[in-house]
Amino acid sequence: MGWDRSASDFRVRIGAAVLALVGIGITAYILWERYHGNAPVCALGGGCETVQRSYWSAVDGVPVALLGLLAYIALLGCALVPGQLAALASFFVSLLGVLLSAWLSYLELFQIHAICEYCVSSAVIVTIVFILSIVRMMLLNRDAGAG
Amino acid sequence: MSRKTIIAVIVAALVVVGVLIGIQQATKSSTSTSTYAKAFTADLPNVDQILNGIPQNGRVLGNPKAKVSIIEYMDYKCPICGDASKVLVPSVISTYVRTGIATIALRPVEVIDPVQSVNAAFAGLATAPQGRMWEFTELILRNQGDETTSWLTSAVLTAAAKTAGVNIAQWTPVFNGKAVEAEYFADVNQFSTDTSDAGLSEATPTFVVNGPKGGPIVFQGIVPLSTFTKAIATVSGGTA
Repeated sequence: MGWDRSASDFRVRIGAAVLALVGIGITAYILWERYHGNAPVCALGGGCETVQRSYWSAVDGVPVALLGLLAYIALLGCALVPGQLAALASFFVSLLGVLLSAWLSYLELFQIHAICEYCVSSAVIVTIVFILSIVRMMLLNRDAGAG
Repeated sequence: MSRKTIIAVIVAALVVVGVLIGIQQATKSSTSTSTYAKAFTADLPNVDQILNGIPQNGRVLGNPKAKVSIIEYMDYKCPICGDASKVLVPSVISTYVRTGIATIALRPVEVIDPVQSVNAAFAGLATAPQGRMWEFTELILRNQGDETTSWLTSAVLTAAAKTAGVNIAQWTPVFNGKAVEAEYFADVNQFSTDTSDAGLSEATPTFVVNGPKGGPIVFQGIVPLSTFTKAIATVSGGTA
C-alpha cells in the first residue's frame, strides 16, 4: 500500500484550520476586552493587563491583536483552499506570525517585563501552523515530482 | 514550488515585519510633549471641577480645621495611582474633603521608575509652595503614558506645571533645588515606616488615615469609598 499524499495534505490542512480557529478565538477575545476597556483575564498573574496596557500592544494605533485576528482568518482561508498558491500564502502569513511573535516575546521579556499567556499561546499556535505549512509545501512538491 | 519563490516569500515576510517594527519604534519616539500638553489642557476643566473652591496649603488639600487627616503616598508613573485619581480620590475629596471633615495630603514616592518617578516627585513638591500641587498631580496621574516607557520627561512635567497654572520662573529653581530633595527623602523614610508598621509592602497608592480618636489606619490600592468611611468613623470616634 502506498502513502496517500492527498489524504495527508487534507489532514495537514484540517490541523491548520483547527489551530487557526483557536487563534481566531484568542485574538478576538483580547480584542473584545480591549475595545471594552478591560484587560484579558489572565489565569497566571497579572501579566496580561500589563502587556495589554503597554505601548507595545499596538502598531501606530492598530492593536496587535487585530493584526493577529486578520492573520488567523487568512490562515483559515489558506487551510480551506487546496493547492500550491494557498500553501505558499499559508507559509508567508504564518512566517509573518512567527517573526512578529518572536519580536513580541522579546518585548514582553525585556521591555514590558510581563508575560501574557494569550500571547504565548498564540506564538505556539502560529509556530505549529508554520511547521504545518512547510509540511504541506513538501507534500505538494512531492506530488508535483511524482506527477 | 521553486527555491527562488520560497526565498522571495521569506524576504517579503522579513520586510513586512521590519516595516511593522519600524513603524512601532518611530511612533514611540514621536509621542511628543505636545500630545501630553493637549491631554492636560483638555482635562483641566475636570480637575478644576474636583478641586475648585477647596483650600490648598502646600501639599495639603482641605480645611486646615478638619479633624481627620488623610495621606496619599503615590508614584506619578504608577497606573493604579492613575486609576485611583479618576474615581476613588475625587469621591474622597467630594465626600470628606470638600465637606470639611478631612484633609488629604500628597506624598510622592517612587515604586516604578528610579529616575522619572523621583524627578516627577521633585517637580510635584516644587509646585506645593504655589498651591498648585493637586492640579499638577491630578493632571499627570489622570493622563499617564505607558509605565514601561520613559514618557514622563522634564518637558512633560513642565507642560503639566504650565497647565496647572504654576509660575514656571518661580518653580524651576525650587524643582532643581536641594529643599525638595530633602523633603522627598523624608517622605520616602516615612513611607517605609508607615507601611512596615502596618505590615504592608511599599506599594502605591497607600492611604494613611489619622484622627483625634485613633489612627493610623493604613490601606492600599483602589479600595471602595466605604473603606474610607469606616476608617474616618474609627479615627474620629464614630462621628463621621
